[in-house]
Amino acid sequence: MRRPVGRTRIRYRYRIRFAGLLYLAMTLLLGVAAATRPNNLLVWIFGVMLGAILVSGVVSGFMLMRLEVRRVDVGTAIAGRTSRLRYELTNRSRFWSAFALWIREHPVGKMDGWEHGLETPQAHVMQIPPGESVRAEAWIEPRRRGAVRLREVAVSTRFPFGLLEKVLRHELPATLLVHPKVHPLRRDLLDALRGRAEGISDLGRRAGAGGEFLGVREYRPGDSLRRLAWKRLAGTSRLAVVERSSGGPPRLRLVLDLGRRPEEIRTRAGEDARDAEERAIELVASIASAAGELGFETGLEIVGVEARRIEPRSGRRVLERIMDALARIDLTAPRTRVAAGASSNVREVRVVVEPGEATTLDATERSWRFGSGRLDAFVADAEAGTT
Amino acid sequence: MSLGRRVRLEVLILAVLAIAAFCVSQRSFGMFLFASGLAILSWYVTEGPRGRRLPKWLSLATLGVIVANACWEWFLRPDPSEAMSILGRFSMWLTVLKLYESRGARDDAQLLALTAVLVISGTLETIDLLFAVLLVAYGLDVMRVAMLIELASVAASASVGSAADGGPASGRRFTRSLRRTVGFTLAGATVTAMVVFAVFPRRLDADPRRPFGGGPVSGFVDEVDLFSGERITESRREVFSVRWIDRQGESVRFPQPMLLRGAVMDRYQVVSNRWIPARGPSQARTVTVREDLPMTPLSIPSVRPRSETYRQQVEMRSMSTATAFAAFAPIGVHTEERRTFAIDERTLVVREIGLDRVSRLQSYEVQIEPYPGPETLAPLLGRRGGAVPSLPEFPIPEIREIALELLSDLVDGELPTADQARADPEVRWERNRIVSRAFASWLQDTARFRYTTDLRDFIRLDGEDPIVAFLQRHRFGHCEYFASALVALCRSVGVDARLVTGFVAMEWDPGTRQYLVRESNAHAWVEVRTGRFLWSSIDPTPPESLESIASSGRGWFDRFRWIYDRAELFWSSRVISYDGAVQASLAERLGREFEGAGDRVAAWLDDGRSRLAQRLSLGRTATVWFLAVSATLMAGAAAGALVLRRRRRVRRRSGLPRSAPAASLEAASVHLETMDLWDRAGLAPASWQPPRAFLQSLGASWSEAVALSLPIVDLHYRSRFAGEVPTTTQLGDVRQRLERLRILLRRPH
Repeated sequence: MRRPVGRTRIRYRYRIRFAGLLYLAMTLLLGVAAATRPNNLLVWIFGVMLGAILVSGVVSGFMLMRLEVRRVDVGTAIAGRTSRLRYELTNRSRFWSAFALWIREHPVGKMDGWEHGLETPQAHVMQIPPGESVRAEAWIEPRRRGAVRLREVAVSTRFPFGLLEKVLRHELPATLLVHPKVHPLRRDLLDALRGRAEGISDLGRRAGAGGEFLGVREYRPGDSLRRLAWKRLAGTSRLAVVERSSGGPPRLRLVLDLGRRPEEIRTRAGEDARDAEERAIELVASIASAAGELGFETGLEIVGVEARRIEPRSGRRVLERIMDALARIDLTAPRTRVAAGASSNVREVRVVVEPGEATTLDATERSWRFGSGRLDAFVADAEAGTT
Repeated sequence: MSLGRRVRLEVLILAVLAIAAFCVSQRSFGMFLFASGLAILSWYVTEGPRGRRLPKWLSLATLGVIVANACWEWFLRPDPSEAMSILGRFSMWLTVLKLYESRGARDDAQLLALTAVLVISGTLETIDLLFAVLLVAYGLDVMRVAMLIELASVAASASVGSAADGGPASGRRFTRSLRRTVGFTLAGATVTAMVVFAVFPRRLDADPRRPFGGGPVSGFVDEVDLFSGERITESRREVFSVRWIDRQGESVRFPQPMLLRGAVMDRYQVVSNRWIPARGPSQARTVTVREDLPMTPLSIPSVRPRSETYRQQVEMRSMSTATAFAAFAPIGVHTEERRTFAIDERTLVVREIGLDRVSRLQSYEVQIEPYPGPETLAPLLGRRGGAVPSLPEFPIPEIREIALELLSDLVDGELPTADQARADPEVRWERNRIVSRAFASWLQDTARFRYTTDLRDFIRLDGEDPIVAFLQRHRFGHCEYFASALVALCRSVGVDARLVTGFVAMEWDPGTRQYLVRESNAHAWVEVRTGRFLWSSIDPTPPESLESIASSGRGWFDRFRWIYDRAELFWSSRVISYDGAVQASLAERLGREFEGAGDRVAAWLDDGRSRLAQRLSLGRTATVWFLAVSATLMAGAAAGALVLRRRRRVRRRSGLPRSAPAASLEAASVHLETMDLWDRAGLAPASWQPPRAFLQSLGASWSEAVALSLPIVDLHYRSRFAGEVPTTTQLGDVRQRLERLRILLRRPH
């Protein structure tokens, strides 16, 4: 396991806080008073105050000098949901405990994904005993999907007196993928989706180890003798075997059509084309999530921007891949004008989602086309508190 | 106790400490009881079973009252010297108010700032030891509380924003770590404060012992100011103790109150109403004490006393001064260490004038001839022949009128005139004696004059001299007024008189057979010339008043007061009186110490070597051998200590029992060193990962290093958990692997 800690670039910074400025001003005033009035107690207090400033710098310096930090498993987050960023801090000092530490992400530029509305996450640690490691978690709640580039982690402390803040910035590049927001969809929509899929599921039957009769075919070497169609044998001289079907899960191919330029998108009044595209992405993510829960084999095809096609599969892994693909969509990238074609696979339901209002009413048995404007209509009332 | 509650408790303690310090500076016990009582009550109100807080509107209303009170105080006494007191009281009530409000970490920080203002206000008001003790306690505590507040603020922010497993802010381990950090912080701040205190530039002419505000306290002064009319607080602080030792070496009691002279003033400033020492060409003679003599004479040639002499032993308890208080007439001086004194030939006042002002007089001994003759006094006063010059007449005509009127009433029979007195010295001395005694008797009449230290009713009219006001209108005052009046009356009718300040020793302790001299024994009296060289002491203050002062305020606490006074002597002599001159003196002494330090060290080493050789009867070569063997043994001991320390560390880290064989310990040591090498290379196992699993998880680029490391890890694990004792061959093998690994991991990957 690579531990990048030892090789990270570290930058040191001191910040004087407002309380520290006040304290400095007070110390200076006392110094002047001590110099002008023959009062040794004032000199003593002045000395103690200077000592406090000095010790404040030294103590915080000692605490942070041998402190190491790394991010633990930078995974994914979901827009609109609370998630965690985890850090591991190790105090390499043999003598000093580290107290009252703040750990913050330090965004270098605004265009690293932070424009997607991520508040700067921060974690805290009360104490790290010498030679020990502790983990800290920062709660994050991104408002929009996207890839957020994490560059630096700033560890700071205002201990012991809160006058100075010493900051150590560790360069630890990583990427946090924020999945699109997932809305709970209406039950009738899901039922309709399930009905269609089951309606065409007969077309999708294939030979397997199921219990239902599929057909009779010629015997091939290796076929089990138990599967011989004895009745057919009686009429012909050829050996035949009975084929039984396996019940495959319903298949859903989601197509996100982003091939249109923003000005071609028919949006509702007051809605931005980019917002419509984001809503389209959210709708696809919501359908994919719901389909996954219903046991669909789900796949994704993104039209108009460069993205890999994901073939329908079942399970969490494929859902993760779909969400990752949706999170990575760069809406600023140039578009290719390729219309979403009809499905060639008779065994799958195809749902095409496009931003804004749908351009055509393509609602066949195997294919649906939705505009992102339908998102509000599809969302279950659960979001509003009822089901 | 939760961290937040603990912080609130600590802040309360700090507030009470600051209130106590401020009240000590104001000398107001009542205010302390009231304010600290309110502060302590706040804990029950806010943290008690009901946990009430002051409503916002009531808090604002109280704040308004506090502000109005401060403004009113300022309106009543718009005196800049009162500003800090008013600010302090304002801060104190504000502190108490805030203790009743609901508080967060920010409010606690504000409370800390308020208490700091409170303490600084007190600092500008007093230099008392008790205040200093409270100040130091506050200073140390405030840093600790500031740290706790900082921790509490992190905990409070964290409870809403993030989570951590950084451990709770409580428990023995946390407390120990925090205590260590606090200890270091306090030590660092204290050392810095001491350095700053030592080197901070001070004005050479400033007198750091002079108190600031807070009203005058009874005590010795070398200039008498009759201008200020305030109440003088009677202080029972022990200043010094005096033994009066006769020729047989026994400590005896003086037949009357012993007047110990400290300063003599013969010039009155009419404008400022101050008595000051006469100015003129320096007539001081310096004497350096010789330690080999039992007593160093203060005159040249030394006097041969005709009458009985006594030794006056003085031991300082709380006062730090260069003045050697002595009865009349001092003829010799002795101290434990070499010191230089100056004796004023006009007044016979003895002062220490040594350049080294770092260490003040702690104890000294003065030889006294209480009834000196001309043979003693002439050499002390510099054998000045010729006519004795008279002191100038007192410059206020009203006093002369009063004096002449009194003379006619008080003196029975014919009194020689001033002209007759000038013509015949014997007549002059007799006249001086009669006149001064008559005036003193008149002043001592308690039916006519009243002794008091409270001069708040001593109201002066514009242009009226305080002595005239004392004699004509008020007829009350303290010893300075009585003595000033007598000097003024005497000098107005041609009698040479001067004002003397010092202490009167009256409190005889039969157990220790010594006098205890307190601040309240500070006194002023008069000396009248009654001979060519002789000045006689006359005290016009009613003797009953002195006795009542001496006996007043004696309580059980006075029995233990010497402990406090000892501390106060140190405080006064080492801290409060640390001024520019002491600073310069200290720097000079340090310079001298460091000058030629190398030579001194070499000489010391050489001296040590020769002493050793002498003691062991060794020659030069044998000494060298002895030293070489000793050095080798010491190096061996140091190496042994290092090995033991390393073994202990290995045992602690690897969890091996104390009974583990040396070979297992060695295998563990090699294993730990291996893991440290990986760590230094930027690779370390996660906390949950065993070393073997960690090594196996590394990529192909580390295969060679992993191959070297795995047998080391395996050997340690077999030894640690399977009880296998590694053989010498195995240990040699793992050591070789370790060396190769060391080289390998240095290369960039």
